[in-house]
Amino acid sequence: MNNKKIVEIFSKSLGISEEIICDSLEYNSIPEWDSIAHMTLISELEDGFDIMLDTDDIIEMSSVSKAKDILGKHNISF
Amino acid sequence: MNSDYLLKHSDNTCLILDGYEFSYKEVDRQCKNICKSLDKTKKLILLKSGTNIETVICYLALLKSNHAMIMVDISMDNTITSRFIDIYQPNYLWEPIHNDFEYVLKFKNYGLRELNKDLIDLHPKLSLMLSTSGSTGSPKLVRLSKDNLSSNTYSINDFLKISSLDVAISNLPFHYSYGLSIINTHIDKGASIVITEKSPMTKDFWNLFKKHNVTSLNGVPYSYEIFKRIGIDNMSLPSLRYITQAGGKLNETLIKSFRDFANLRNIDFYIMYGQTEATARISYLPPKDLNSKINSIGKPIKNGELFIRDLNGKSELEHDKEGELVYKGRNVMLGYASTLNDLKKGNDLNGVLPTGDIAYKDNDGYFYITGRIKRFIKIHGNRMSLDEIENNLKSALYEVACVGKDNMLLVATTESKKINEIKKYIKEKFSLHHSTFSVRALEKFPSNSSGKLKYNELLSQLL
Repeated sequence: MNNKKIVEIFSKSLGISEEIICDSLEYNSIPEWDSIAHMTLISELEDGFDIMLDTDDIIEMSSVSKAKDILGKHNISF
Repeated sequence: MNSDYLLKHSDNTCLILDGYEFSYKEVDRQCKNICKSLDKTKKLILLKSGTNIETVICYLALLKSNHAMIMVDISMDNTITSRFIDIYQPNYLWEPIHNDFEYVLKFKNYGLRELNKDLIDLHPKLSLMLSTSGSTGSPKLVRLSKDNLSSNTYSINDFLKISSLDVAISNLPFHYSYGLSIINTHIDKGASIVITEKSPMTKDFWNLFKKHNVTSLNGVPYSYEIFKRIGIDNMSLPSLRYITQAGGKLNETLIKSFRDFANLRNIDFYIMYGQTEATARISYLPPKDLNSKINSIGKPIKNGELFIRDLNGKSELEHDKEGELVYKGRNVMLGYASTLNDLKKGNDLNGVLPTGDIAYKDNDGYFYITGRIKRFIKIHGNRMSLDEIENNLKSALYEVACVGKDNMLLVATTESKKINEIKKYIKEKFSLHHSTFSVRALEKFPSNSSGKLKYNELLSQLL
C-alpha cells in the first residue's frame, strides 16, 4: 500500500514513468530528478503521508531507498 | 585586472576542492601553462562551462591573455553546442576529455582541442561572451570587454566589501553572469572559493559550507525558496557574514523572512538587480533600507547611473513616473553578437543600456520595477524569451502561441491531439520541469483585425 503510494508520488513529482522507480534511483542521477523536482517531491511526500520533514530529512533524501528510511522514522512502514 | 593580478595574493588559498586546495601561485602556474599552448594572435575559445576547477582555471587563464572566449553551459543539449560552434567557428574547444579526439593540452579532466586554424576577425577589446537565454538555445551572445569585467568587479566590491578572509561557495553556475561575478570579486581580493557541484539540497553541500567556513550565500529567487524549504532558519552557520539575492524579483514574504534571518544573525542581506548586458550588477538595496524600501531594487552601484526614460520619446522622466529603466556605466556590454561578423564589432552602446524593464523612481531616489517591455519570463532564474520558444515550436511544426508569467510558461495550441507530444518536446528541448509549464488546446488564438496575435488576451484566457 505505502509502496504503491511512494512510487506514485515519485512518478508524479519527477514526471517519470513508474517502471523506472526503484530503491537505487538517486537524486541528480537522471535529468528529471533535479533540485526543482526535489522541491515538488518533498511537498508531495509531506502531503501524501501527512508528515512534516525537517532539514536533515530533506537534505539526506538522496535516493528512493533513503526516502523510505526517512519516512520510516515518521512511522511509515514499507 | 592586469596579467599579474593572481600573483598579488600568491600564498592565499584561491580554490578549495573537496580534499585539495589551490593557492593563487598554483592557479597562476596552471593559467600560464594554458596560455603557453596558445600563440600570441588573438584566438576564440569556446568553454564548456561546468561547476569545476577546469572551467575556472581556463577562464582565469584566458582573462590573463588577450584571447576571447565564449562560455556555454556544459549541460546544454549537444545540438545547441554544435550550433554555437557552427556560427562562431571557435579556434579551440575547452571540454571534458573524449577518447576520440586529440588535445593540445590537458588539465585534469578537461582538454584543449583545436577546431579551426583560420584567423577570426575579433575586436581587440572583445574578451568574454555569455548567453542570456538559459536553455532556449538562442545563439545570441553578450559581448564583454576586460574593462566591463574590472569596472563591475570594482563596483561590487565597493558595497560587498569582500576581503581576503572571505570564502564563497559555488552554488550558481559560472556561465551565468551572477555566478561569474562571484569568482571575479573574490579573485580580485585574494579571497577563496569552494568549488562543488553539490546542490544546497544535499547534506554534502552544507558539510562543505561548514568545513570551509563559507562567509556568504548567493542565490536567485529559487535558491531562496530552497534555503527556506530546507529550514535554513534552524541551521547553525556561524561563519556566514552576508547573503545576496539577484536574478529576478524575490517575493515579499521571502524578503521579510530573510530580512529577519539576517537581523537575528547580525549579518547583511543585499537585494541586487542586474543583467548580463551590464556584466552582472546594476543596482543594490543597502541592507539598512530593507524595512523602508522593501521591493525596491535600490540605487545604482558605484560609478553607475540609472534613470527613467519616456516609453515613446527620449526624454528623462521625473520622480514617480513610469518609463523604461536605463542604465549608464562602464560595465555596459560592447553589444550583442548573433553572427560571426558581429565579433569584429566594437562598442555599439557607448555605455548606455536600455534595460527593457519598466520602473519608476521614488522621491528619495530608490528605483522600483513594475513590468517588462520585452516578452520574456524567468523560470527559476533563467531568462526565457517567449518569442524564441514560440518560434522554436513553430519550426518543429507545432501550431502554438506562448505567453506566461515568472515560473510558468503557458502554451496554447490549436492542435488538441498533439498536446502530449508538445509537452514532451518542451520538457526535453528546454529542460523544463513539468510543473513549470502547461499546454492547453484552444479553438483559435485571439487576434486583432489585421491578424496580429493579442498576447495579453491570450494570457488572461490561460491564467
